[in-house]
Amino acid sequence: MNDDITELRNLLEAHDPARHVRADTPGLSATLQEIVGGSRPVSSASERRRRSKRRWVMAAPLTALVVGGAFAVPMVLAPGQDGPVQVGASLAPAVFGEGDYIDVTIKDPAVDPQRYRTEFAVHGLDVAIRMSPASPSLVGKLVSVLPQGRAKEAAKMAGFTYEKVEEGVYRIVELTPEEMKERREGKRSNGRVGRLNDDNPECGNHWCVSTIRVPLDLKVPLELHFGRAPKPDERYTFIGDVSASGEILEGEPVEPPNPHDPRTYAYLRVGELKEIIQRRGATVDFYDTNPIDRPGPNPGNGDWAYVDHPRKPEDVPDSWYVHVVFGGDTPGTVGVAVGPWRPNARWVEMQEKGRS
Amino acid sequence: MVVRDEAGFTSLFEEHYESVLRYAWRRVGPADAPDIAAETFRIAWEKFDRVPADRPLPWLYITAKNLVLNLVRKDERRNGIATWLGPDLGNGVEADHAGAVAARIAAVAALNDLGERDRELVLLVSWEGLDLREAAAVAGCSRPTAAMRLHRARRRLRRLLGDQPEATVATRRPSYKETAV
Repeated sequence: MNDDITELRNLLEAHDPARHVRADTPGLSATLQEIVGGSRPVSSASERRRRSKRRWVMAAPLTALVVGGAFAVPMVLAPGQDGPVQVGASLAPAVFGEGDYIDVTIKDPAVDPQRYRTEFAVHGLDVAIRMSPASPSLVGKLVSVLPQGRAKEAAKMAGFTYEKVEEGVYRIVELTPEEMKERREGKRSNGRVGRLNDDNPECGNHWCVSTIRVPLDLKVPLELHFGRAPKPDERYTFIGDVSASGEILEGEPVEPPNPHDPRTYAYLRVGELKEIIQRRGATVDFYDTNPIDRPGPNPGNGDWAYVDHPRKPEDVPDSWYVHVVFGGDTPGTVGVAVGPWRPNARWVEMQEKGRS
Repeated sequence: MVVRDEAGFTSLFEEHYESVLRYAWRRVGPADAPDIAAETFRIAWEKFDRVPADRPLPWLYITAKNLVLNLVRKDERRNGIATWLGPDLGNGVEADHAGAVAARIAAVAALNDLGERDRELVLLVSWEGLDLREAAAVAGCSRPTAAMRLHRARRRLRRLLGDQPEATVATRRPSYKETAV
């Protein structure tokens, strides 16, 4: 066996396309601070459940770099205009308790993002807005905040986090160099950093923001990533909670069971889900087997490798259990993780062992 | 509320970010690799208590692999190893001469001619530098299965690289996907 590995290494070593790739050190700091500052504390069972479904949309920002192109410009903003501006977007300079700020609410997701950038620039802000095709519950919603530029430029920034103001409204908070230093050194793990408490109920179990408040004295270059309706034949970049408002299975009881409370287990069967799906005029884009919850000594490798276990529809009995229902990447479609065992079987098994 | 070990995570990040970046680079190219790597560590931060402290790299690769697969699923143009590689095969990273370029094209073509699972195992033990046990864990198979696949892949690669030095990049094998119900 070692001969095989040694020969393979020898055969391929010279052809490694990444052998000269090095992580950019300043960029590393920016990425680290973004991760540590941008994630939410794990605080509750519902939070854990939300994250289990967010796994699929976590990939959404990955395509941010290749999204772009022309947007319709149905109207023109009025840069520098005094007072609230409600043309396409709401960019309303205002005075708030801690100073001046701009509330950004996307009223018309079809407006050219460059228009927003111009409006921000008028106020001395380097803020870009990016719009990507999203499923209905995420159209017009902020789904991601990133520093602009991932390499040297990003490293120069002071850092930021965001805090909840009220339901659906968050504000950007710039961190001082001292705070950033503390974060890098591990001396600051909480405080103002990365506080995202309750999700916006409009988006079901997917995190989103309706209004983002940007302070006018912000020095950090930001990119705000919003969802927009897809064009014909365009696939979603952002996929929301399949049972959230406006989604194909809106209001249907397909929420995965709460792993911390077995009494809430719905144990939805595939046959029951099919009835729901047919009634709503949806189609199943793909089936995957959930390898993680498999009971017994040999659970699946990895953490959430559904995509490693695709399953043909004819190989999915109606009696199997529904583990997770995902939104598909085109309108009217869903993906379903299934298994012959009950959802969270491993967790229950471990709990029962712990009690005995 | 769980208080996470930020210092521990920072160490993990600093030690392994480059490896994960390279893993992603080899599979999706320079445009998407930084995002894959960053997202991998974002997930690691969220689940830091579940990242094996002694051998975190396989866990990170599994996570990166799933992100890559999600990206591939979303963008059907990308699949397999390094189909993003253009004529320069390095995107300005290095100045290969013509012979080396041709050799790498052949190598990439040969790799793409392997089955998806075999190819992943080959990359894990070669470019990623994992041992058999770690590679099997990342690939989601047993060690004997991994050994069998690697042996088969070695023979096939040796033949392909010896017999077809000018092979072109193989056609993508789509993963299973079907509309039903």
